[in-house]
Amino acid sequence: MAFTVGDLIDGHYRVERRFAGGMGYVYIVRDEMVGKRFAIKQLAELQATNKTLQERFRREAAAWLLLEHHPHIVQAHSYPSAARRVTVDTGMRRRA
Amino acid sequence: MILECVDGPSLDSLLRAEKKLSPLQVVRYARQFCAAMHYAHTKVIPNRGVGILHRDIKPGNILITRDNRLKVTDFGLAKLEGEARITGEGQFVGTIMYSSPEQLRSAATVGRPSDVYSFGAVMYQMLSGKAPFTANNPAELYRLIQQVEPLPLEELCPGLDLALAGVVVRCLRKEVTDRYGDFSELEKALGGFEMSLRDSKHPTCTHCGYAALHQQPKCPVCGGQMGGGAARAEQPAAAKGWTCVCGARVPSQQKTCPQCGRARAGSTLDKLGDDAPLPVDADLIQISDMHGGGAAQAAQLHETLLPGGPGAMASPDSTPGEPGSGQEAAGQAWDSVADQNSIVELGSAGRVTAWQLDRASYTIGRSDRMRIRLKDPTIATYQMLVARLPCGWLAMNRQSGPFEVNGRKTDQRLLHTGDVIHVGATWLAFAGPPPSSDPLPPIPGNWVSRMEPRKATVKGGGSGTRVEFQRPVTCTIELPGGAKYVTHGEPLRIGTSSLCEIRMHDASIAPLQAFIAWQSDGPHIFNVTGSQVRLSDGQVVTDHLLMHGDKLLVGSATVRVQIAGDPLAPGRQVATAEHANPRRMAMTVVAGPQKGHTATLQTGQPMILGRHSDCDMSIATDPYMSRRHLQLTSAEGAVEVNDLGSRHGFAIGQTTVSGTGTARLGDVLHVGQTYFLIHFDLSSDLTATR
Repeated sequence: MAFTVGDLIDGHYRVERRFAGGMGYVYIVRDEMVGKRFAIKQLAELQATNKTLQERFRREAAAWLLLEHHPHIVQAHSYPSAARRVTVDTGMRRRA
Repeated sequence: MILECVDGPSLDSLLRAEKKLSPLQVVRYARQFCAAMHYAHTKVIPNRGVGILHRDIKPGNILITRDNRLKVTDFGLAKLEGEARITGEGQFVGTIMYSSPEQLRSAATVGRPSDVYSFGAVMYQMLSGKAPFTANNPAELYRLIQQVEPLPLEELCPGLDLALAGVVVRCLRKEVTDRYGDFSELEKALGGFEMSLRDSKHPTCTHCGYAALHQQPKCPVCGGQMGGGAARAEQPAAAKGWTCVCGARVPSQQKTCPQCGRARAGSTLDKLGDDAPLPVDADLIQISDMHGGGAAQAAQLHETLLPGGPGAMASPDSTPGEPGSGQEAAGQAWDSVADQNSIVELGSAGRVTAWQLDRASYTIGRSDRMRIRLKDPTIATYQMLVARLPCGWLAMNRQSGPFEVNGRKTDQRLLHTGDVIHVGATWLAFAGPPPSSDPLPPIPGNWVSRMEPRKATVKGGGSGTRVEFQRPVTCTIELPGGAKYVTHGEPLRIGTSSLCEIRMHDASIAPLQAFIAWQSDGPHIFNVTGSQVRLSDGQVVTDHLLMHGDKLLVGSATVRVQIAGDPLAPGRQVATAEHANPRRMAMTVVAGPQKGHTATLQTGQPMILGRHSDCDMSIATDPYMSRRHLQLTSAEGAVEVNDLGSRHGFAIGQTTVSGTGTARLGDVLHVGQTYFLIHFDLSSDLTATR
């Protein structure tokens, strides 16, 4: 369920680099609509199928999203119901 | 989850490349981290309460941008990640390496101190190159985190500022309550270091400002060029030197001024880091506190205490003998500062300059970097230090010549309300909360009592030799109303303040105008503020040996002096006896596994200190202490320390001692991982004065 370099996530995030992290993947993407780099964190496939874990990931992520911009905190921009949307939107996805 | 993209290495990869970071860079990163975590911990989140804990602070979750700024990532995901990791293989150990003891016991109950612990572990690794605990399997790591103290940082990184090591150690305490409560406290503790470390000659990246520990061609953060360092150390030789009190510029090789012959007044501040005397807990004494804006603080205090700004108290117009408005205002100012411990400079015209003591320590000197800056050319740039200890405020000399407290020369003394300190040409008073209506507590210390001997009978006392005398030599001060004050040797203070023994309701004299203290030739009167004390012939008194029948004009009142058993009368044999010190010595653990533990030494009864439970003082949890480590014997104002063949020895202050040593009042005794402060047993005294 992972993306590879060159994939388009959500229609406008082009994957430039991919790292395997402790809990899933981290992608460095370029938003082709605004021309700015972002990082996308994705739950590993093992957990992405676990509904309670997904729900908790969403809840914890919500708290991070509520932290406004701080010079020494990595800002969380949005949580586009990530696990679902990212995995369901298979249009441009290729198997890793 | 869509996140800000940070271009730069993680702290994890930076540590892998650099192994150790420079203390300056560690403090800079740490302060940025504290700012971020304080924000996150105190952020109000709707429907969730206050604050978001990180719960997984580790180098991998700290990113460094290309312009050398720190950014924290992966908030609040720790629990999830923990579960994720269990399913992985061999990853688990890495995750708990920075976990706090309570987090390992129960992840549900952790609070802010747990994050503080984790960051303490990260700081430990940044400074030493190693995480505090490492093990091959999780069970062993779990045991180490729960039970074992990490290796002392100063062993892993020689030359590290011990106060900074103390800050890290405090973050790593097993007990939640022993740590800093939150990141704002930690930030405060780290506050002073950057200033003192800035002078250290680290190679610095010219692009992003990264300060490395070792010289290297490329900056590991931004890839830029490293510069500075060694080049900064080479200053032109002509610039090295010192400025004498007389204004002459003297090369640094010469210790005395060629123009006036004065010895060099004092070391410069830069030396401070090397010979800072007390490697104790940062909350007790922040050596770092010695640096920084004392002047600004004093100005601020002026603003609140004395509306109208500095100098509003001064009344240059008030002439001697006249009830000057300056003194009245000074009295009010004195009363308002006396709610809290303060150091008060007693100016010449009754002017009062006060510094409230609400920090852990204060430096006193001529330099504008001193918290208490005295514009007195006869004192050193860094003359002395007052530090808050568990037993009270201790004044310590930092220069060759001692200072005087209540007329007695001393190098260090615990201050009591109303003590008058004479340093250079400046008189300072230690003011405190107003005493209750109870009689004034006796002034502590060793006062020479002057007695006439009956038949000089010598008795062997428990702790000293006592001579019995028939009639004490007394100095009696009689006020106009007939009130009499008698002293056999202890000082008497004269002024309008309620802390003075001789309190005079006279608007023309200062809150603390003068005091009587005994010197080797008899009682002297020292006038500390202005010319309000005169002899009957009109001569202004500054330091005068009192004689029987003297009449003194104090303000507008005439004070008579009677001396019985005149020590200077011809043919009379006078002996002096130093009273056996009635105070017992005590030692308190100020840093170490059993912080706060106090033991009082009984006179003539040696105490054994060690890890074994049979010892008189047993610190079982200090792995570096031998089973029977030291024998301690009480002595006059000091503790004799004998090594009982221990493995690691001991140190007094920062000096390692082999065999036998003497730890004096205010010294810090370092045994194993435990730091003891030597002080008087003041348990009864404190209740009287506070």
